[in-house]
Amino acid sequence: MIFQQVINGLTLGTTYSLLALGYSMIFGVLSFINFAHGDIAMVGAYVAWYCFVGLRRGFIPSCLLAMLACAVLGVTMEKVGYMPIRRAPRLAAVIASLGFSFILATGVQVIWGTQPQQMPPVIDAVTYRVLGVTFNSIQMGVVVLSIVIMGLLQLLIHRTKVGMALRATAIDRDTAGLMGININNIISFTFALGSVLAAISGIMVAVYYGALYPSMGGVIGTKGFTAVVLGGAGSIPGAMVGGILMGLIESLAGTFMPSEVRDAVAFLVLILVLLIKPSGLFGREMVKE
Amino acid sequence: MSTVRRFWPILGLLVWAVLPAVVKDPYVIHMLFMVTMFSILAVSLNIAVGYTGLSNLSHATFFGIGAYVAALLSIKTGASFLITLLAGGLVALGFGLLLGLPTLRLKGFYLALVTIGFGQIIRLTELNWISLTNGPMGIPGIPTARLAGYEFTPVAFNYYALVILLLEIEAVRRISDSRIGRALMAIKNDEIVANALGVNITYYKVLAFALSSLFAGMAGSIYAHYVTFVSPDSFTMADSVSILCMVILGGSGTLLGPVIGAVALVVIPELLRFASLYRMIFVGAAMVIGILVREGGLGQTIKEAIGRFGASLHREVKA
Repeated sequence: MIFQQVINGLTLGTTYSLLALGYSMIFGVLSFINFAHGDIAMVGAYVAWYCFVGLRRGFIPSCLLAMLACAVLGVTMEKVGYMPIRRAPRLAAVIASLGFSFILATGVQVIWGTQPQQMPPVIDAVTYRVLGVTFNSIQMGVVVLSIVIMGLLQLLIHRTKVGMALRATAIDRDTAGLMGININNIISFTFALGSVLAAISGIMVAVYYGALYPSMGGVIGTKGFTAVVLGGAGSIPGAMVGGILMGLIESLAGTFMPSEVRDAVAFLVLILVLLIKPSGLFGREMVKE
Repeated sequence: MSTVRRFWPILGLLVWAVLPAVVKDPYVIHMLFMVTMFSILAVSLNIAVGYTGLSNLSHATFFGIGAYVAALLSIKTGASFLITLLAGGLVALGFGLLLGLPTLRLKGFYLALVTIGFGQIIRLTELNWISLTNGPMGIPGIPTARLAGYEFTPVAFNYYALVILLLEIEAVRRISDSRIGRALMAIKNDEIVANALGVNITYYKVLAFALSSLFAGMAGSIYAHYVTFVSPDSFTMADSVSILCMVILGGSGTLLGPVIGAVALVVIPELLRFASLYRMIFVGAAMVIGILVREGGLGQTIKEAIGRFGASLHREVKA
């Protein structure tokens, strides 16, 4: 029973990790929580669904299109809304991101309706039973793919030149600029990368539950930024571990507590972490403001 | 203050005071009430956000707490609206202390996240503690306000809310001109310097947060008696965001800016009600554009562009 919930939690958790990575990278370079990030994941899920079901294209091309659409959306949002207010108080950026969140959630409602849509099975789910624990090929695919993507991301950040520039920008934007790094390009790159990860996460959630709806951005977004706080804002490994922990906590809470409490668990975790250790598990101790 | 700077607020107040008495349309009366209501909320949030620099994304939650307290108190004990006004304010203040005391040492965005979490937990409590709050169905049949046998009409509610708003503005004005106000603004400008100058940071932050919640709770009581129905849907995070926008776009840290923000952000979405589905797109766009104008110099850019356009026309005319 517990092992079963651990498997379910792990599946959910890796999708939260992918979302949390975007939140965390954007926090790293611009020091604010981009509340529209969950909605980008939702848009990604809708674009993939529309291309797959509505236009009857293959699943892989649909996903690629969704990733491209989200990357363009993320970069546009940054250029239009966040770039002009980089030097303003961070609360201004938070409000702009909430504005974008409203626009995206309502925009999807206008285009595809307020009703939930069904995501047909992408592959024939084969169910495995190992030692009394049941899991299917979709869950396995989600977990394996997420872990591969996170591994690639680690390589990108620690082994490539653009990764080094990204880390330098996160540590000190102005100094990084003086060292010849094109800050604008790095920030755009961060938004593009984060949005692509968000698209993958949104699609995975839609495939896993077999459904997608306009307010899912807010629902998974909350899990995403809670995972960031849990792992430590701005920390890449923190976002990965935080996401998986969030999935596990949510899944186990659903087993041992009444369902009303389960919805509140993410917020309780959020408040507890902020009260006890605001820098999170892997965060820098010096929290800059 | 010069006469010119006094002119517009006094004119505004006159219009505000006369309108409910002369307008007959119940819809307009209702909109006026909502504007006054949200002005109370925006001015109170400004104490925490504008003067002290504390990010709060759960102001509507304190508003809701005040409304629920007023609803339960007046239904269960038949208490007068003046009692529920005080009780709603004080209970909201209590919750403000409960949230503020442990969390106000957190900075900027961490505090914003805590307030989001707090707002959602209170909302889930309102939804699920059925025996007390009647859950998602809400509490109907809240007695309207009455004074000496006279039952408040919507017009009377307008004046009641306006009086509270004026008292609140006067209180905020006095606070901001006092030692307390200077301490709050010092904290906003630079916490470390303020601390070095002997300002008790925690004390003043908690004070600002508590005062802010107090007025929000009082607004909740006025609202509960006016609509005679409260439900968790009236006090969501979207409402908190909306109040925060009123403060930031109207002018945070100014006395009357939040009032202007409240007027704009209540009236504009209402004018867009014909496009109900698209409404939130416009609201979102208004938030982004408003921020870009205030903080990103968009207004300046547009002015310059118009200036250049005008200059180019001028040259063409000359040539």
